[in-house]
Amino acid sequence: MTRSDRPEAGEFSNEVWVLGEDRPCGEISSVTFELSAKARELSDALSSNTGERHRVTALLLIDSNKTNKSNRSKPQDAGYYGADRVLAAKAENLPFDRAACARILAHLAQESRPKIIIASATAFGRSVMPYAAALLGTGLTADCTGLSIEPGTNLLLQTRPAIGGNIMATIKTPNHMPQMATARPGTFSIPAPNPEKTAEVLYPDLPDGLFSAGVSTIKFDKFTRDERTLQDRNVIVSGGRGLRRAEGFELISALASLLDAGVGASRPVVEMKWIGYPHQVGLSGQVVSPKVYIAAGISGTVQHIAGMQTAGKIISINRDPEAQIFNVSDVAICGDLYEIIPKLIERIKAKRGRK
Amino acid sequence: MKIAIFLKQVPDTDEVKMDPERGTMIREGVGGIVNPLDLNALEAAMQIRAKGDSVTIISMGPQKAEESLREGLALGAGRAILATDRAFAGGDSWATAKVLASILGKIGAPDLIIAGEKATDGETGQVGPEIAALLGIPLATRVTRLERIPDGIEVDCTLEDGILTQRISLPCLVTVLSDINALPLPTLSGKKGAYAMKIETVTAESLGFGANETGLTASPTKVVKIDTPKITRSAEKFLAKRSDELDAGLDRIVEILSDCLVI
Repeated sequence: MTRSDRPEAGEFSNEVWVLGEDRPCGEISSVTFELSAKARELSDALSSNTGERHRVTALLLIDSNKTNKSNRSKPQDAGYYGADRVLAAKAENLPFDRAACARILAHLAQESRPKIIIASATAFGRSVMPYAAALLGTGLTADCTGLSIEPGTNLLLQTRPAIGGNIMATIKTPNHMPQMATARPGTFSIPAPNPEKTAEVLYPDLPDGLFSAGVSTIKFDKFTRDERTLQDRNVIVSGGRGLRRAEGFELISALASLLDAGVGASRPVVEMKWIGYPHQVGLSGQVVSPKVYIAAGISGTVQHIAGMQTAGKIISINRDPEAQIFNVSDVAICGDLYEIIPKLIERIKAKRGRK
Repeated sequence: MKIAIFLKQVPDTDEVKMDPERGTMIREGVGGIVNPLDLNALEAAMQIRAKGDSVTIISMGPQKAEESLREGLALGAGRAILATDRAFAGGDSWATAKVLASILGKIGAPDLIIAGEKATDGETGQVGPEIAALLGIPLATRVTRLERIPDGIEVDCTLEDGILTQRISLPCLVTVLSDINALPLPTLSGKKGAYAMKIETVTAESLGFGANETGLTASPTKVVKIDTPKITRSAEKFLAKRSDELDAGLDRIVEILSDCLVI
């Protein structure tokens, strides 16, 4: 199954693939649209460089037992964002049987021979893509923050942060196809949908041998609104050691609930069990990119900053005028958070009252 | 049941440098620790193991990675294997997975492989799933609860939007998050015992790899450029002890929040 020998260029088709995602409710996840738009850009660059038309295919792995109740988004919607074609593979136990997902991806990729496959660096993408890459005997670059086509070689340039975000490495997969990469959700912008543009939806036949014997899903307990992942939040309010005691998170939560924000935390306070691991922001926790990130009592270690530096606006509150976090902030208030945050809460309430 | 764990030795500081020529990390002169999630994986094995089960720890790295295996032995592992060879150096996740999978083939395929979800240095999280693919076995990632059931294991996987409970038959590979257990602490008797234990060594040749089949040359992905980006922003700074500055700062925050349509 592995292919280590260099393929002839002609062996591969003029296709750029997106491994899309659907949510447990049956709705198509926005990362599918984000990556379809990115794939469109890559495909257009390849078309203009080579003079040959390239096209974008989005693959969706859909649980055949589930119906799309939400009706908010459907497979063909990927067309509005740039996909020419949607392959909707339906089977039982998708997408939770990760090995089966990867075998389907590898099987379809061996049939269609795309040059590039991109996916989101979610729990799903980070499981299925490496499994599929190993089946296809090719390379994979994780957590890219930039993807582009190199003029001349027409290879995929994959840029990713390395060593705690201190350096950016640009990576190529020069001698293997397909070239595979994942990107963190929210890395690329989602364009306005173009309702004129529709995608053809195909339902491929899948051979029986693709499914893992012995994987059964017992249940999926969806998090409540309060347990929502930090990555889905527009605003995150985070606390660190500067809170000085676990109860400090009550103040952080008060501000967060006023803003319908998620509550984040730095690694040390999670390690001290002031708050649970799902709240940890940073390389060893969650990497987030909200519109506004408020860091209170967080000094700003490299590992924390790498987890939030792409936020739209960063506001920090810290007693230490030399705190590293100030260097990556748009607004920095030097002082005691126990004095500042209650005043900020008052100010927000007053502003709401005036409306 | 035969259980296998991978222990990666990672640098214990944030001070790692890259070799700009080769695009790989310079590990010489930097102290090493066991990748913390790999210790969670080992602890999970210790908790799940029953009488008669074996726990084998495997590491790939320079000779110095022996320290990590010694630590794993002190924590209760019964057998340790070190894959060390210049020919393994600079390998990407695929080249690494190939070597580790071949070791598993050589020692007899384990029933359960537990891996840390990712390492703190490379941070790809790809080696575990790639090994599962090479062995053709089921995979569960981000496991935060692992229990033995009559014909396999039951796991909770903490995903972005909820908790997935699955039953998986053996053999299989799971990757764990730190929430699964508390990091184990070695005992004095464990440490003493570990020093008497043998660490087996394997090389590219003993695993049957030819020249250019491992390491940097066999890696499909190549680092072609390294940049050190500036991530600074120029903050508007306000000193809270001056009440006029505090007022201005709070106004600025409220303005940002309303611009983003949050309030």
